Amino acid sequence: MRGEWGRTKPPPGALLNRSDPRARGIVAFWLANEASGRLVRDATGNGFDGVFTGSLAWRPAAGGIGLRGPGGGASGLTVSRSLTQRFPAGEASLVFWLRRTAATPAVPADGGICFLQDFSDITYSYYPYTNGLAYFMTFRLGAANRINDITLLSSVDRTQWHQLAITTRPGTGNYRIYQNAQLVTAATGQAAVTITGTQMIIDSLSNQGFAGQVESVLLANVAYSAAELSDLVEEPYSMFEWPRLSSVYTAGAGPAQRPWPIRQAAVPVHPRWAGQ
Amino acid sequence: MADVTPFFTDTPVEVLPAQTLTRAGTPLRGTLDLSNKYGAFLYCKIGRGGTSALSAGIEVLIRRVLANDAAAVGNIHSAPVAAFMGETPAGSGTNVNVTSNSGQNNLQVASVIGFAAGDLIMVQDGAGTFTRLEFHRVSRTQTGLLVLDRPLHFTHTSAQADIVRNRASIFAPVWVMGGSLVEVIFDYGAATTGEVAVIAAHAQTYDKDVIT
Repeated sequence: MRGEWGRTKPPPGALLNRSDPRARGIVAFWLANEASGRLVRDATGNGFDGVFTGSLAWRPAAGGIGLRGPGGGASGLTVSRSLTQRFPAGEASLVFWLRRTAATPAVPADGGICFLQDFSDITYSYYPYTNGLAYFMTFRLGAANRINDITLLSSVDRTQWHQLAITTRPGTGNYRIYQNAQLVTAATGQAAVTITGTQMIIDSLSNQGFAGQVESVLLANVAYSAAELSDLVEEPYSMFEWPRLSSVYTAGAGPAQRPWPIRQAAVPVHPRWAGQ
Repeated sequence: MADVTPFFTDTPVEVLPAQTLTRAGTPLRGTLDLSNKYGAFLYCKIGRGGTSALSAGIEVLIRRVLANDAAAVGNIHSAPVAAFMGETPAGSGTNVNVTSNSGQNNLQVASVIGFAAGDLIMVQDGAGTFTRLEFHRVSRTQTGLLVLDRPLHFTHTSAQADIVRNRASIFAPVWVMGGSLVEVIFDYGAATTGEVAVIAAHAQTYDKDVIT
């Protein structure tokens, strides 16, 4: 059964339907649909709200839906509530909708995006570094365990909207990087999920920042399969529901039976389909 | 097959009319009774009463209220349906210095220093009241002119010298399901810097369906 929102980003106040298969294991979902102010709320209700620091901004400017980072590493989106106890099985997924300002940054300070880890140069994630290769430290403990020199998919234009996913579970080949649900690389997943340092979702207060735009970020305590990620590519927001009260919304009636086209009028369509 | 026509209120419902919120003062609270309605969109916004940076953003909390606000054990539920936090960085301010008529996009001001395309602005009576209060988004700037992305609602004369400040926070409309009283809180919290703010919350309620 399809959810209410599918490809359209739901407004603040929309409810996460935990019974939807696409909601499996979701710990936090930053929709960035507030359009103004300094708070990016966790739409799950779990309270992992992010707060802006520095020059992170709404896109395309104030009043936009989604975020943009200037690069340079002087700003960020920080979650203060601890996430460390949320991954009891050692599994996790972090799923971004994003696009970079440049496919390959001219300077390292524009190549990062802080994937929930410490920010020293040797433990930073780059997507990609100035050499065009990616480096990932998300969910990993120990600088020596960063996954280095990853060749990204040539078929995915990083300056266009796309999905980037990092998944992990213990065992050989279970730490995986995906672009648009296609496997990029795999390594050994550590026994536990580790989130170190300040819990920043986007950008960094140190010297490596994010230059680009982010549509949404999903964090789960399960390792999504390629098939699940593919579903999220097709319908990234279908786990959210429009609250239904009226008797005209009979059981089983999908969005096509809705008496007025408010979804299209109220909020923008996901940029992958809107051509933004 | 029956035709179903939804009815939303055409005139916005004032949940919290435009008013000032003072730092270190009591949070402001407004309520909206949706107990006999399908739901509502809530429109919340904050204008800056000065140009200083705020040490902490003003929080806006939208919550469902149990027992229709009557005193009952355990009926206070502090978790919000939606929450926002206003802008904190220092802003810029100026005044209307040439009469700018309603229906036009051009707001003529003494200075555009510190203003930029994409800014959200508040235009407030020069006397600090709310007769001609309006919020807008700046499309572009040029010398002595803020070009807005939609026409002015009110005429702002040079004599009135209405105040214009950026760094307003105009949040996306929030959908709240009906069947309950809803409260909207504006809270300056423990901020130690920041001038008085202007806040407002309005609603567009989904009252009924007409089936013919």
